[in-house]
Amino acid sequence: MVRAENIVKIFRTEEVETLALNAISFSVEKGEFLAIMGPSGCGKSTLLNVIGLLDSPTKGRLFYNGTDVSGFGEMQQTRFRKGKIGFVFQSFNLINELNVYDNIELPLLYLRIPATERSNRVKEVLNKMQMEHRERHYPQQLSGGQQQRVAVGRAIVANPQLILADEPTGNLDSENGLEVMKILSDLNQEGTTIVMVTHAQEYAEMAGRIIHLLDGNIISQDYMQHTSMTT
Amino acid sequence: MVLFGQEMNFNRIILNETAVKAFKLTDPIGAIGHGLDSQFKQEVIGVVEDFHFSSLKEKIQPIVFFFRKGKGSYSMIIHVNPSNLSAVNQHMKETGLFFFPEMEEDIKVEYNFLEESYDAQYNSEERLGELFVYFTLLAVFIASLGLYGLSSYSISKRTREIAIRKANGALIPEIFIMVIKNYLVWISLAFIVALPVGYWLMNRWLQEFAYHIQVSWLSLVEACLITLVVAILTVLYQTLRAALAKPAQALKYE
Repeated sequence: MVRAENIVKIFRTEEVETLALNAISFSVEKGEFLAIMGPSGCGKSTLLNVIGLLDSPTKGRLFYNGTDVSGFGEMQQTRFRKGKIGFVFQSFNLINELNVYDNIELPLLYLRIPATERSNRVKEVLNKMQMEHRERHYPQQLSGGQQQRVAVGRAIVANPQLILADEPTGNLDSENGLEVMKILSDLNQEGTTIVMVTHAQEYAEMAGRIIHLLDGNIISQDYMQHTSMTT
Repeated sequence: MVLFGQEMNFNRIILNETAVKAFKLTDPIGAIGHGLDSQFKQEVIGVVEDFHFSSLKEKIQPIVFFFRKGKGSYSMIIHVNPSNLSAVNQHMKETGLFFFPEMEEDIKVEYNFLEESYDAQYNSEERLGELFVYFTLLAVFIASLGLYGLSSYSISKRTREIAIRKANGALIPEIFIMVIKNYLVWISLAFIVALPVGYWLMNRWLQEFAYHIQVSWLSLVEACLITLVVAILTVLYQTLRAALAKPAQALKYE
């Protein structure tokens, strides 16, 4: 589904040049649950941003279902990821001025889905995330776990093929963290491809494969035997 | 209308239309051949259309034209080619001598241009106009600086929101419309306040002129459009910078 070939990412300032990704190559199969692990600053989030077309690689090529997207400009990147890729961030990244319903509805607005269908899909997601009773609440009125459930809801409402989760449990306690992981795991069981960056070994082991990063290089890969979990 | 072929003298006069009304003569045609009053016995031999001979701030006054022969000063308005003024001067002298041969060498021609006379009448308006242009430009510049500062601050506060929206599919035009929409609301409110006040002030100024134009709604629409364009250009750079930035840049610091 996703194929990265020799992806290099260099951050440049006037004084410093930082090599964040050093010719990384890997692929993600359709329906796979891939975890990316590594110490802070090893390039995990940068890799996720490049895969998610939120950032462009300095060098290398990125393919989505055989289409080379590495040369895409800003506008093309946005058009391409629209409806195809859902994002879950460590800090939730909900819009504080919008309530739960409006936050979840956001990707559907930009996809120009008709109002009735939007409403049905948002309600379906609210139900799935068990957030119906909070639909008129604003992010600051919710707990961290609830905010992340809303963020996951927003990521899945457009039925994307791929969900990229950047430390989705990083700001959550273990109970809420496990709950979010259960949701992601269920989504994967339903066929959604998931790439997740995490520090937590126990959550990484819920994925089918773990890529270990160090200083912008892939140093190893582990394949997990189990694909189900209990709560 | 002038009855041609009649010899001009002090008792034969020509009026303008306003003078006809001022002397309460029934109508211009009827005024011809009537004496103005019993004492002076002047005879109206013609009526000319009203024309402006002073500033447009003043109403056209009644004029009586009469012919006076002898030494004195006479003025006339003639159409000349300004590239050859010395020939004009000479021709004027010759023509003057033709009409007043007794003046011989005493005849002296002084001339000024009608255009300059008109200009002099509207000097203060022109100066006022220039001042208005300078102060308007200054006001627009200061307002634009303020708007630029406001938009910079506002957009810097919304950078994360813009990045989130882009990550969720918002295209650059959609981001631009979202940002500019807020300013359009404020600009519309400003129009609601400024248009009636501007309209009233312009009309009040025009009342100083006995003859004036009407303030056109089109000019008010033009003012709105120019304001809108200036406002959009002012916030354009900041908005585009935020809209074109990679979402990862804004989201990674959260």
